[in-house]
This record gives sequence, structure tokens and C-alpha cells, in this order.
Amino acid sequence: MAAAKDAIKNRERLLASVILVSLICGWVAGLFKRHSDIAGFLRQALPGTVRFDSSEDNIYTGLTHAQSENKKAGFVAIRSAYGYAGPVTVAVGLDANGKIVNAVIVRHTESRAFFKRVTENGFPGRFKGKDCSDQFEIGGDVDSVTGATVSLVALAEAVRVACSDIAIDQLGLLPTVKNKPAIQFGLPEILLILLIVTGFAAYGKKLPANTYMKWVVLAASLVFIGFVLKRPISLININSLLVGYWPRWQDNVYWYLLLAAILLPVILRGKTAYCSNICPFGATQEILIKLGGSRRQLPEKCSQFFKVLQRSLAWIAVMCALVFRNPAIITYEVSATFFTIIGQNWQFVLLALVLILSLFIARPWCNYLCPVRAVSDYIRLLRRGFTR
Amino acid sequence: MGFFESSFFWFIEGLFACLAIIALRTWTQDKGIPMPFWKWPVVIVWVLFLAVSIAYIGTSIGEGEMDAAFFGTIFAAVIASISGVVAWRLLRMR
Repeated sequence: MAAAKDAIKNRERLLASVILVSLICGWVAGLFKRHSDIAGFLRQALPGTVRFDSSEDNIYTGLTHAQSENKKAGFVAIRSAYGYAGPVTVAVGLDANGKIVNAVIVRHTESRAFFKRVTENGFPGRFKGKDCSDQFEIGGDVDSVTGATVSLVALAEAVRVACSDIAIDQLGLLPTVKNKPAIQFGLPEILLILLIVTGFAAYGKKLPANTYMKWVVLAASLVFIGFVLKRPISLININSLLVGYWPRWQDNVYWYLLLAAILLPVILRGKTAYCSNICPFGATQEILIKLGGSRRQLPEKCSQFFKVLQRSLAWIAVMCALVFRNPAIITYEVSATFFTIIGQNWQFVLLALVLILSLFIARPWCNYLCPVRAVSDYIRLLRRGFTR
Repeated sequence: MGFFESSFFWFIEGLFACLAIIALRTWTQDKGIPMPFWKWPVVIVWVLFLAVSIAYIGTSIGEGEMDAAFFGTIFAAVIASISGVVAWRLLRMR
């Protein structure tokens, strides 16, 4: 019996080491990823330009004549701002009067379905003709896009910074300074902290008070994190962390709190209350379990097959994110599709299946497909393997 | 006039509806499930929802609106399943 346990532990240690080595290899491979040539983007940002002279800080002067230094068509700046899954980089062309000639996406790592919403609404082309003194405020001088606010905010911020830098460095203008709080800390962050604290307090022994509190937190999380903020945790967040796309904490307190809520307790204690007590999609499944009146598990063999599938898919998604330096390169999570009604057709089919199965099986998404659960399982495995 | 627009089609439709209601009544009596008045609207609303969903999906396909048909199928399947399970649990209540 003891020998069998030792054999399992050794096998777990070996598996944990192999996965760790593969992830390190993936991360190193990602260092060699080449970015596309920017010359084409510069010409698109400032059409009709023959030659570009580069100055410091990625600002390029566009010249209309190959030989003459005096025929300036305008300036192009390449700037980035953090979106949901990493930096959104744009090339912004400004004429000599400080008006935007064109803005072009150089690269981004946002989820395709969400970023498509932004481009389908005419961005970044809609920034054409705007002045460098504009505020670039979503919902103000820039129309908002439902369901892709974070990506659009990043895009607008990158354009604003590009305009501001050209205005100061090249045109000698003083653009309007955006009034931004030093630390972005508002109602969403306060609500999230409250949910995390209450969720963790209700975690543990199955006392009636804890069960009651758990349901209150789940319902609140479903409404606020799910339907109002539409920002539950996703593998993209974890991938961004691994890839090294760490946004400024002052502007992204919510992002760091959410990641800390799931990762820190797993690393420190080997378990987290997020999945069972806070996750809004978990709450949806819990409600469906109550409606269906069944809390069955899949048969052992079937369950094992799905566990392997869950972990393999998560490993592939993380590896691809590391190698291609794109946290959202593979996304199959249905929680975002559920709360935003944005996704690809197969994600809607998968979501429908998960919701219907939740009536008969206990948390099918969490137990058999959720990649965040697979990541926390892996951290637990590492912990077990290397702490004993 | 095609079959589906004719009065005969609606006659057959009514006949099947009557048969379904009688079948449900007989089945619940056999199983010993009481059928108070409030259970009937639950069943009828669910069946109507299913019928309207199928009509919506069929019409969308007929009009060549495949996106509408696809999303209609997804939403109808989820809502019909959830409400179906709830209706079934209510129906089984003694």
C-alpha cells in the first residue's frame, strides 16, 4: 500500500517536472518571436509619404520628397496601452496641425471575437480627423462599443499617448492633460474585495451560516462580476501574467485582485475559495444544479478521461500563449461568452451543452473543462511534489 | 393553397393537441400524479414555447437567415431544457 502511494507520488513529481520544463522551454522559445516589420504600418498611418526619418521614442517624421528634408507630410508615433490580454499597439499619423491623418493597429493580443467588435465598429479609423488636444474619453468624445470596452479603452489610450507625444516633441503644442486618478480604485474594486473576503470567510466547514453566506456571495458575484462588470477570471489573465504582460497596477487593481484571489491561496495553502464560492460561472452552474435537482458526477472512467482532456487543453493553451507571446491565442472558455453574448459559434454550442448538462451533472464546466481549474490543480501538484 | 395553409392541417393539429392532452391526463392518472389546475398552464406554456421556438427556427431557415436560425436553436435549446426540467419537477410534485 505504501509502495503504491510512493509510486503515485513519484509519478506526480515526474509529471510536474516535465510540465514545468516544457513551460520554461515554451517561455524561452517565445523570446525569439519576431514582430512584423513596421514600415508598412508607417505608410498606412501617413499615406503619400515617400520616406520616414526616425527620431527618438519611436516617432517618425514622414517626408513627401525622398531628397528634401523640408517637405514634411507629418509624424507617426507607435504607442501601446494594455487591454484585456496584453498590449494594443497602434501607429498614429498626425499632420503638421496636430490632426490625426490615420491610425492603424500594429499588433494586439486581445481575444479575436472581442476585438472584432472594435474593428467592426470602425475603429481605429474613427480616430481620423481628431485633434491631438482631444480627451479620447470612451463615452465622451469617443463612442463606446458594448462588450469590448477594455480593448477600446486601450486602443484610445494608445492613440492619445501617440498624439500627445508627437504634439509635445515635434509640434511644440501642449495637449490637454487627461485627468486621471493616481490609482484606479472604485466601486468594482471595492465590490470585488467584499466578495473575496466574504467568499473566503464562508469557505471551510459546511455550517448553515457558511452555506447561506456562500449563496449570497455567489448571487452577488453572478450579478456584479458576471453581468455588470463582465470580468470573471479567465485563462487569458493567467497567460498574461506568465507571458510578462503585467499592466500598471495603479490602473489595474481589479486585475491583480482577481488573480491574487485565485493564485495566492493555491500557492500558499493548496486550495482556493474562488472556484466554489466566488466564480460567477460557477454560480450559474450551482443555480442550474438546484433547478435540475441532481448533483451527479460522471462515471469514474469518463471523469478521468475529461480530467486528462481538461489538463491537456489547458497545457496546450498556456504553451501556445508562451511560444507566440499571445495570451488569448487559444481561448475556449465559455464564461465570457455567457456574460457578454460574444464569441464564436462553437463557443455558443459548447456553452449551451454546458448549461444543459449542469441540470444533471455537478458543475460540468468547473470539473471537466475549466482551464483555470486545471492551472490551480497543477500548482497543487507542484506544491505536493516539491514540498514533501 | 398548400397543405400547411389549409384548414385540414389545423384540424389535424387540433386533433393531435386533444390527443396529447388526453394522453397526458391518462399518463398522470396511471402514475398517480395529481394534476391540480395550476399544473396545466405550466405544461401548456412550455409546449407553446417549444412550438414557437421550432416555428421560429424553421421560418429562419426558410428565409435563409442562418445566423438567426443558429442562435435561435442555441437559445431555444437552453431555455427549453431548463424550463422543461423545472416543469417536469413541478409536474411530478405530489
